Amino acid sequence: MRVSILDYGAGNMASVFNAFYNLGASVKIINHSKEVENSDRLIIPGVGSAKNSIDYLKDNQLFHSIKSFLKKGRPVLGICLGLQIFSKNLYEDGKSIGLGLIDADVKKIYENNNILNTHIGWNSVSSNDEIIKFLKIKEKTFFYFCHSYYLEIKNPEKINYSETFFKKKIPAIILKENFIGTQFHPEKSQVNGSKLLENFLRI
Amino acid sequence: MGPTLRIIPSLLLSNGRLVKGSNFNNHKDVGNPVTTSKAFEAQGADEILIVDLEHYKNPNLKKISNTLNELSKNLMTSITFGGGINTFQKAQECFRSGADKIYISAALFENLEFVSDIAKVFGNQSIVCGINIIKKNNEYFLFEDQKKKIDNWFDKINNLPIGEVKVNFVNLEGSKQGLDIEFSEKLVKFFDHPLIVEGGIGNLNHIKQIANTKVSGIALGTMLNFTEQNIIKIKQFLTNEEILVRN
Repeated sequence: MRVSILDYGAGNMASVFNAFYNLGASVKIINHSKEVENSDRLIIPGVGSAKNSIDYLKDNQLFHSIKSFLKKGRPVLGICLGLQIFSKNLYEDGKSIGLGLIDADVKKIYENNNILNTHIGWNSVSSNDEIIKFLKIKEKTFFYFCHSYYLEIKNPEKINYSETFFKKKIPAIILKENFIGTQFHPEKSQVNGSKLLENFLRI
Repeated sequence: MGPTLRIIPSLLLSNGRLVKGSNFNNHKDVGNPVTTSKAFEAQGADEILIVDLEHYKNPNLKKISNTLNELSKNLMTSITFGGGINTFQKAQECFRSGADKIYISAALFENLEFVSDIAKVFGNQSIVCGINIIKKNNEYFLFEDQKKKIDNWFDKINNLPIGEVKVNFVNLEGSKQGLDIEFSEKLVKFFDHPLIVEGGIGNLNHIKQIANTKVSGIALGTMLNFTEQNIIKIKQFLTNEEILVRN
């Protein structure tokens, strides 16, 4: 199985690569649209700011290749910003148009006197039965978060997701068709994260 | 509810080895960075903070990259790296090598602009700003520049596009006398960012006192290296005291 991690300029590819490598996966860091096509699993990591990253994806024809990869029905994992780019609109450094798979806007979690607050650390994620079964996690599982923007979901009843709480309820895992998105970093979530990545490879 | 209180081992690197001292001096060898970090991870460290002391004097990016690479290969824990990062390029190199966040402190006195450049590409959440404080005759000063007004500096740091602030009480470092609770409380209220504190924590009661101030993280150096304590015991104690930690 060809497991590909998409490198799109920003972010810490090494951690995600090592997490999969240590699970024994045949994993590769890729940055070309042709390589996206030839993958069996696609991982879109993300540490970075939205505008920069989306511009990069568009400029390098990667936006389109992610969309066509999704259509093939093969599993895709988006991590943190890698989840956020699947929303409709992202409001970080102005407005960017995302991939639009999830009917949501990406907005600041919380701001005080124009100072942006960050959700950092380990937080408990509450999941419904379907997600528990699919990802083989517990009803409440600790994962590691590090982000200042979150997904404001438009029609919550239509989307299957888990949540956590920081200032407000924050979507933590989103499942849609063959897409799995995590707002937290499984590659930084020790044993809990490693189990989730392992299950992603088994889907 | 919200994220749990983070227990963060604070490690100092020098020539590829870990060292520990007091009052920013007298450093002793305390081990190999990867082995030690791996042990802290197994104990339940919530993050790991590593600051390279040599890097301030002789930036050797290649050596740092190797250490960071080794750490990220072996850990599934968030790594914050600091030591002489004073340009966008150096920050980028650290991220590429395996740092999840970077720690910037001394360089802020020369230039605040590059912080915004880093935030634009890597996001606010990837930057931790450090403030070193010393106390003299009941007054607080900035370690690097004692003439600077401390309140103005706090304000400047608070307004930077960063993810969190770490305050180090320099005179207390390595002393095991307990953290400056009163001042930490003020700082928690002042900063709009999550706050990590370090300096002087020597026993479990010190940790309990500081945990009640709503700090976001506690960085521990001496206590983990030179006492009988470890992170498992600390977290058990905090859980018994009904302070929420990740177990």
